[in-house]
Amino acid sequence: MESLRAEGVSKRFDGLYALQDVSLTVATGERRAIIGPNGAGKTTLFNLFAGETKPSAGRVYLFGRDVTALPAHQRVHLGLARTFQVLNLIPSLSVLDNVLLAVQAVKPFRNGLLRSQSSYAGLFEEAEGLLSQWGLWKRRGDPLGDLSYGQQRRMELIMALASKPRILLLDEPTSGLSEGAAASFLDMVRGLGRDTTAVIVEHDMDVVFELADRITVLHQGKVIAEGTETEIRGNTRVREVYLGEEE
Amino acid sequence: MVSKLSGTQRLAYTLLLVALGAGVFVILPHFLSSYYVLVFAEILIFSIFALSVNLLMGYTGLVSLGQAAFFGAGGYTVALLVTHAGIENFWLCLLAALAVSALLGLIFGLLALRTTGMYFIMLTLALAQMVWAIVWRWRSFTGGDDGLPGIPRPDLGLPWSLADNVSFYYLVLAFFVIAVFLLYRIIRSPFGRTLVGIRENESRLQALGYNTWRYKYVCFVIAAVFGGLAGTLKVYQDGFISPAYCSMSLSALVVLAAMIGGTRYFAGPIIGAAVVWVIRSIVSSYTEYWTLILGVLMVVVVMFARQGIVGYFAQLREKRGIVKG
Repeated sequence: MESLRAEGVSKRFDGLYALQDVSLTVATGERRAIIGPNGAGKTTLFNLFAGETKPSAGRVYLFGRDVTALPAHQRVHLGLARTFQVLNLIPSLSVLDNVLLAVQAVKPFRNGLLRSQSSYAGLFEEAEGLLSQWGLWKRRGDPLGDLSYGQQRRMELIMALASKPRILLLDEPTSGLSEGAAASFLDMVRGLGRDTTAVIVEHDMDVVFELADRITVLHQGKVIAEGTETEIRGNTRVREVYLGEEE
Repeated sequence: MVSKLSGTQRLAYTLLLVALGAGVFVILPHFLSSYYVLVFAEILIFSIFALSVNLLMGYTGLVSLGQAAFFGAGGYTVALLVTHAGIENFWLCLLAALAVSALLGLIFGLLALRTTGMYFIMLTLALAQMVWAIVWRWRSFTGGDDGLPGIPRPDLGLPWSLADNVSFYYLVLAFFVIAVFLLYRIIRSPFGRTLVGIRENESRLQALGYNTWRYKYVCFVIAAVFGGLAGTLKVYQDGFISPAYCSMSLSALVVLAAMIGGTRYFAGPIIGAAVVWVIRSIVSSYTEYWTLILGVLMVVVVMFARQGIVGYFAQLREKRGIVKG
């Protein structure tokens, strides 16, 4: 079973190829990392999956359905959710209000006009469940902006999980986190059930090798390798363009 | 338990305030001269108008400088139906006015919401100026700058006549209560909470799965309908309509009123409309420099009370609470 598939995807910006004829398939339940040096096209590929940009050529499939032309917000309703590399939350609203908006987004009553939000009991229970599970229930009344950076990174993930996604896109989720905070974040991701597929774009190689089942390596907009940790470690081309630089 | 108790206390407090306010509004006309009764009716009408513009500005973060287009659309629909088609039925006229305002909102929203920020402000302004230009130039139909006189007070088939200012005031009060009730429900609803989310971070709301454009569009049309309602009531109050109903200065004045009262508070536009229209109606009878006073007030608000009058007192109470606690 496949969750996510790119087929011959290209993206051109001003005549330059950010991605060129990229194809990859992510199986359901898989943890896939996408790595590559700066400018390899990781973020562009990520945005194509999320629906923020449209490819210049090629097609994107979600659970076997062609979603190439589908805007980001509609992909959420098919079961896709994402986090942002740079914190993208609502700092002025309370922690609870942030989660309520995230939970409500995929509920049929999200367009409700005349009934108060607080009267939807199930909505609050779900938000409470999420916040308790990830240890932020006590902070529910505080403006989200008052949380520490690490807690806000956790909120990024909580907001994404609120829609009960079947596929989760993580954009450098540990960037800017201390080692300890990154480790507890990784525990969070590892704690997700195997019914959730995760695609992670990451710079930190330790994170990648620890989390991913398979790794796709991008270089100058093309896929140069794909495989398990050992396969990638043993790949001479990868060592040349990527790992070599780091070590 | 503590938070629950303070919750019920707060509810009781709010209810008491609302009941007190309602009581004042119900008794008020019996202590006022006929002129001031009309001033109060006008304040209620402009409160509805200011609430409508604030649904866009305060809750969704869309500053519109063209809200008078809908005020005028409602007013002119009634005036034209009464004077040209001879339709005197109030409910029919009201329904038509709201429908025309909604339709105009649907069209203008489609155009204006292609943009954001400064471009949105300029587009709403330009679109409203087009409405103004049409009623100004189309003399044979709209009366041009002479306007359309001779719109009688509505006949609701009630045993008392609404030609009487006090009775008319109660009609306006009834619509004010309905409008406040509906708008309050809307801002507390999942839809209303989403509007606040869009104001604060639209891209995140999209990533969460919200079709933010559609929310803004619906909000724009709702605001248009309430703007049209205010215009409808105003034309019945005055018995007359002129292009001033859809003028740029009216659009600006209602935005100013909402800001003076406080755009982040539900009651803000009501308080702001009251202050602005008291200055406009009462001060202007003593001095022609009422806009100067309004200007000074605006400067004071911007410099010392960014959150408006309501916001200023709310923050004052919060501070005192912290000192006590």
